[in-house]
Amino acid sequence: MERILFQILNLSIPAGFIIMVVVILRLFLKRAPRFITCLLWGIVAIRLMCPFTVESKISIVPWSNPIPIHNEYLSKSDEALLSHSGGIVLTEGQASVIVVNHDNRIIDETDPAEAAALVSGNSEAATLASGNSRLALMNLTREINNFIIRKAHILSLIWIIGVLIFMAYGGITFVSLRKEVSEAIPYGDNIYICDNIASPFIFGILSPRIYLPSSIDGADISHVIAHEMVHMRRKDYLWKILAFILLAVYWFTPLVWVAYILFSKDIEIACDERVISNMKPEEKKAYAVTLLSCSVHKKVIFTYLLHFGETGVKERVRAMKKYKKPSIIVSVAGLLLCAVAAVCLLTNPIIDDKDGEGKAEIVYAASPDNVYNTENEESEEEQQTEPQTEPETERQTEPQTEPGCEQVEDMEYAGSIQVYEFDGCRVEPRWYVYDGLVLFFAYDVLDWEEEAPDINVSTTIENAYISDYCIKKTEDTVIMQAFIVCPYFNPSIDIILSASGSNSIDEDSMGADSLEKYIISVGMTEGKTVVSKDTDCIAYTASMKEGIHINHIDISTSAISFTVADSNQDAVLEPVGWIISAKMKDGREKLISNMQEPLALSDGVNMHYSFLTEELKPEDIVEIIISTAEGNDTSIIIE
Amino acid sequence: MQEIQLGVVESRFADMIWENEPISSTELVKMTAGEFNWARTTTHNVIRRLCDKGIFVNNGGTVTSLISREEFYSMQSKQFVENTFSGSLPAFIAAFTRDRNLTEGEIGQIRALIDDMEG
Repeated sequence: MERILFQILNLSIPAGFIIMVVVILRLFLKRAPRFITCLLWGIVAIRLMCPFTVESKISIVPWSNPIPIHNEYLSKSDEALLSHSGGIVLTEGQASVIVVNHDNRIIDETDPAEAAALVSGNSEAATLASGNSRLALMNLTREINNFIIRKAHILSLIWIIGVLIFMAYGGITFVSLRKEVSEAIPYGDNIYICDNIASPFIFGILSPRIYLPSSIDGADISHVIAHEMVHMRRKDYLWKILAFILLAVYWFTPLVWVAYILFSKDIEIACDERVISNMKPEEKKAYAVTLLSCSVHKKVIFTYLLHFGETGVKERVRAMKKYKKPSIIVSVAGLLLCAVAAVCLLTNPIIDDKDGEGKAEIVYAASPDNVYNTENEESEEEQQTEPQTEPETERQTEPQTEPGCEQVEDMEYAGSIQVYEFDGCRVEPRWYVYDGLVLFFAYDVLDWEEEAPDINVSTTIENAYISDYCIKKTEDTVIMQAFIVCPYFNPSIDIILSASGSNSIDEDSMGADSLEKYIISVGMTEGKTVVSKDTDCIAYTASMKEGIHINHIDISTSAISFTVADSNQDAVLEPVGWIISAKMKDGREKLISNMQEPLALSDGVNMHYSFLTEELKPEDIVEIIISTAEGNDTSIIIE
Repeated sequence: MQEIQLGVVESRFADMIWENEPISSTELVKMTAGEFNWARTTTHNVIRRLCDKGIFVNNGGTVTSLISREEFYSMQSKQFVENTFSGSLPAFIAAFTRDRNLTEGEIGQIRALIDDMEG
């Protein structure tokens, strides 16, 4: 359910933009025949219905998938973690949409005004708002996204109740009207007269009929029939029902209400125009009088039916007064405009790929359609690890059955199983979201033609970094595993693979200065270790006790991760019961984690652990102390 | 007697009963199915409603009228004059004849009517 809601939210934002465009175009099209405006509303309807769009260069839609909400739902344990980790939203699920947010421009979906601000001068705003304001916007967006994710259960419940109310209303109206019109008697060809209805309308879907109230004045009847016949020919009764269904689904979006109301008016005016297009002036006048007489004694009924006098009689009469039979030029120009608008509005912008030639860039997020469980994967990996690890293999897989790690297993989701063409080889990426904080990323490279190139992994997420990865090459497969540590939950993460042949990490996507690394290489000997910041991640080892080493220690603002390895490569120590604390600049000592529930990941040789922490300032840490239950303390001094 | 109002459709149906009474409800169902395209339940619903209004009575499937067609329409026109012209017959005739002149024959008929009432 949440997934559908997020999909709907994601569709509603670009659609909201398109509605605004149509409303503005509508002002300019006052003189043009009104059916053109109706066609424009058709574009809006397609956009609201269709989750998939074609990309085009001339698209003017600013955001393709503006709310990249990856989360599907939060389990209770997640919520507990959530409160524990102070505002960091933890995901359990997968991306619900493909995220293409190269400049991280995320728009708040609940605030159309803000969205509007960004629409006007899209590029301008992007450059101007590069400073603090943009950061503030991002923070706000993040908070709102987080709020939506946290309240996903309730919000989707509210949404579905709203939809059901609309549907129930529609259903009740349908049933009661069907009862009324069952007593209608034939008047003419497919035209019926009924006692209990207040205004003329068309009823039915497969075999629609025109119903006239029996109280209708004889003089009016020909006008009313002419009007309804045009509706009938244009199948307007179906469009109206479609519009109502869309309104029911998007009931929470004010702009869709605007669209519905304006569309209801336009459809009537377009119909009137058609009726009077061949009329003499005095006939037109009579028609307008009929319109008035049909509207006076009637309350406005909100419904999906086409009522003769239902909407905006004043506007309709005024439109009729202004109406001139449109010249062919005006009509053709209008249709052309419509076609251009369709291309511009129905497509999403192409993402600029500045150096797209030699470099295959894979930007993906998992989509819900191809989420599959990792259990199979797991067993595969076990098989792969078996030959390398000796008797203790069981120990390695065991942690996943223990309480702390079980959760990790539960939280694992495999992402896309789509196979990408990548630099001459096929890449089958998977990714696993542990809790929104640490991503484990793996892919298989199949069918190497030549020697496998080294592959770099980067992300577009601010302050996220690849903490650790390893590559295993077998005969026909290369498996890479990587920790991507995100300092906070950001629903929009692009994972970028680039081959070393076309070289290095894509600076553009990464946002070189926004990616702040706190990768600390640790060179540990017995007792105290001195490390320096921002150097490359080289595998220094230090003994915790005999044969056990701690490799790369990475500290981010909200997590600390490291690798525990056994020098004999036959066993991996579980850091259960270890205590990690940090000495801060001001001399305070702060508990980072008591390792209750580490996120564990094995590449077959090493055990990677990651711990959520309270908010940390990595630059304030001068020393990290790790102590085991057996009393083997290791201290790492950071310079 | 309370006011009875029939819609256009209802009066068409009522006419059908008056023309054929006494008539069984199954017969009515057949007739309405042919002429109005009505479903069986619809016909029964309308019969029940007209019976509730006190115009007809349904005795074990046979529908007969309580009020004759002439009675009903004289009642209707009386109500009409009552409501529209505050019961004033001359006002009604004045309104009726405003836009058209009465023919000699019509004048004669009305005279005869008045003479009849006086006598």
